[in-house]
Amino acid sequence: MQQIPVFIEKDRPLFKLHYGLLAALHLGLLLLALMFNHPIYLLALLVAIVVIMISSDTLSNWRAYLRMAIPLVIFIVLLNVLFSRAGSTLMFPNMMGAGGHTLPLTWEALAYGGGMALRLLVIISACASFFALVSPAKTLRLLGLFGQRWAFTFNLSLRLIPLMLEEYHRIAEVQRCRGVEWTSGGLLERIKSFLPICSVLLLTSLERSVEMAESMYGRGFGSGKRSNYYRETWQNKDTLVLLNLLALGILSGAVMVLGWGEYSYYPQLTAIDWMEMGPVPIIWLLLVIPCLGKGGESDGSTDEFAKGELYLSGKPTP
Amino acid sequence: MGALMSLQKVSYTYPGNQHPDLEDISLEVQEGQFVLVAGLSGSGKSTLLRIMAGLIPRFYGGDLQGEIELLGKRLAEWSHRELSSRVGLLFQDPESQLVTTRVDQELLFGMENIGYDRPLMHARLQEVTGALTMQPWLKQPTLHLSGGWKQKTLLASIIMVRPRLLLLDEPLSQLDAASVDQLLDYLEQCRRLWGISIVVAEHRLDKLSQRADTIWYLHQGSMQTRSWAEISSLTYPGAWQAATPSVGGSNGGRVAGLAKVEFQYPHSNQPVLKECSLDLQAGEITCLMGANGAGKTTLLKLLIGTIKPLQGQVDVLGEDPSRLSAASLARKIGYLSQEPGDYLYSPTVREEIQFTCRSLKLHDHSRTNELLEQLHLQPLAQRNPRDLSWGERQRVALASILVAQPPVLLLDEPTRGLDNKLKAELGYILRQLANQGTSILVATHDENLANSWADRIMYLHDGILLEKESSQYPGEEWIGHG
Repeated sequence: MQQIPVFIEKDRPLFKLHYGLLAALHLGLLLLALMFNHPIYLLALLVAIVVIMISSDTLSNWRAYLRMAIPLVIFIVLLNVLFSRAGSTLMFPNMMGAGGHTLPLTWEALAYGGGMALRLLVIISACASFFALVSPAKTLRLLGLFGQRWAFTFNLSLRLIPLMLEEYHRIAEVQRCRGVEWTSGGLLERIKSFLPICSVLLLTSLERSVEMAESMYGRGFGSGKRSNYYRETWQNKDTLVLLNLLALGILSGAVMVLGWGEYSYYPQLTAIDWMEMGPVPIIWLLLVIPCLGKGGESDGSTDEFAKGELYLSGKPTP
Repeated sequence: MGALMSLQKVSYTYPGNQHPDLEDISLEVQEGQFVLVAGLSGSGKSTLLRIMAGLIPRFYGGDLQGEIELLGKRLAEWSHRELSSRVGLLFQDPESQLVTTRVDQELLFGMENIGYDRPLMHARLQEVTGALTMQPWLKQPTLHLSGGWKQKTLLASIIMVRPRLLLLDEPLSQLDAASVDQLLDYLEQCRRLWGISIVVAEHRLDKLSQRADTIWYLHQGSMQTRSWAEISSLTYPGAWQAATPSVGGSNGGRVAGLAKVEFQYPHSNQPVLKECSLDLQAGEITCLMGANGAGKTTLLKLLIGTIKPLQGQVDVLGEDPSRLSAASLARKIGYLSQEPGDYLYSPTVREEIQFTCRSLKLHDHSRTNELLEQLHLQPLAQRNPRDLSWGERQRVALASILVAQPPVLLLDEPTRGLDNKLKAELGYILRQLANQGTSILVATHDENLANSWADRIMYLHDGILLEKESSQYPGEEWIGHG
């Protein structure tokens, strides 16, 4: 059964950073992935994310996301190779296709597909890293800035998606015992067989959502302004990381203005200007600097329960 | 002790219904009292709890008549927030009530909703988790908790708010004997430590009856005065054993089984099954017992071929079930999961049963009619199966499997949520099937079912399969079936 990665707090430096900074770091990675076109810059971002995940011991989460991403990556490369006609260097100049024409598959299309796939990998990996490093509760608080209902919608999805996946497997099992075969046969047959599974899943999820809404109402949700037990505190190391991120922003901005993050794939692959690659190691270093530091420090951000003094709550609510 | 809550001549009709679902209910709950609500399925126990929690009519609508008072003030006059902090309701299925992804957040959810300040939340967190020994679990993801722990987390979350009245709707239905005792001990602690009044609606009366101060008996939406002896006679297995057809026993050869099977989930470091062997004989009812999480469902999944053993052999009529096509599998083995809703999507009960016929290209419609009669579903044949009660849904799911006439039938916790009358009906049906030669394996923690209907009782304990003639917990005299 496919496992959905679940947030587990580890004793690593990155987990001790303020969640706002972690959000900024990953948002920065997403922006850079969209801004940079150059494969070397994109590769540097990917390597930086891998280092971040190794240092935070969250590579297993990345693997789970990769399983979903790899089919997409292959699809992007194939799509470009098969349908892009903008390149000029044929991959098989001596091979003839139907009608006696040369096969219009070019090395430029392959490189462009590879570049786009790399960008997608950076984006997916940045998301994997964010969700591995920032707990759903902290993500909830971030979203809470845009409104409590948004935050709860997100939180419920985090709870319900793994649940729905479990239910999907369970429903598929029992329907198989009724003769519903959805893993073999033609595409139409498979779709037809899959419909009952989807219908049951939808109906079960709807029933569950009503039950959950009832339980939430019974526990006072929606009765007025909520309070929050956990609060985040800012620490000195957070200031250092913030300065580091500011430097990263300024340098990346300069690279973009100078046009060094761009790369032209068509009509022919351009040669790499190594001078333009000068900022790559610095950007990479600025991205991985937050990983440095010691783990095992107290989490000043959240865990009031562990270090607070004991209060006696007295009699029941009057 | 004064009355914490009182209901005077309360009647309620759900939206769209013509007749009242509850009628002329008058009762009182005293401070610190432990009340047990008994009654057959559909008698109105859950509706009564929802009225007491204020969810009816606020969440459900409908027509509510009569007077309800909490602490001397009309229930309708309490605001949503005031009521949520004074009355807590725990429903049957913990999965549908967990809102957050981590235990500590779930515990704080109710208090945060009501807007308590941090020092009070902090104190309650320490107090409740200390009393219920939950501290080591605080950072655990709720997704990975067992059913018993999910229920405990929800109970603690409600107790954190420190309600004056705690209502529980069938809290024991999914728990094994040890977990039942544990939950009842927690409830006793809540009453003793914090003076919380407790009202429990439940079918499993044996253990609760020893703890309850009083018992209310609901019958078809009305409160009835019955002595404990009368309630026992209506709801205890003695009443349904009388209807048992002659005990069958094996009347054929081996039809399915496991031989020295070992199994371990990839994310676990403990094997679930260790060299387990089991032979299922035609015409025999075998009950598979064991604590929550012992591996009963895993064993059933091996038999339907959803998972494969790490070592050993599994066979159904001489074939490896994991290699069978869905159509071949459905003709050889029927599987009723814990959730009857997993089978139901057709617009009517009849079409739901015929869906299996279409999948398997069976054209014998007389079998559908036979099953509708046999399982008492004929009056419901044109109803949407999703509109039916739990017990009725289960019978529809069972019919949708039996229509393929499988020689082997596997049932996973089939008595969950059923009252003893419905259990008796189920047991009767199983015995009829066994008499016709079907081999039946039932995974259950229901000792009454096992003692009354099983030809053979197996017990799964620490990955090892044991056999004995009664459903008692394993002792020294148990023998391994390795």
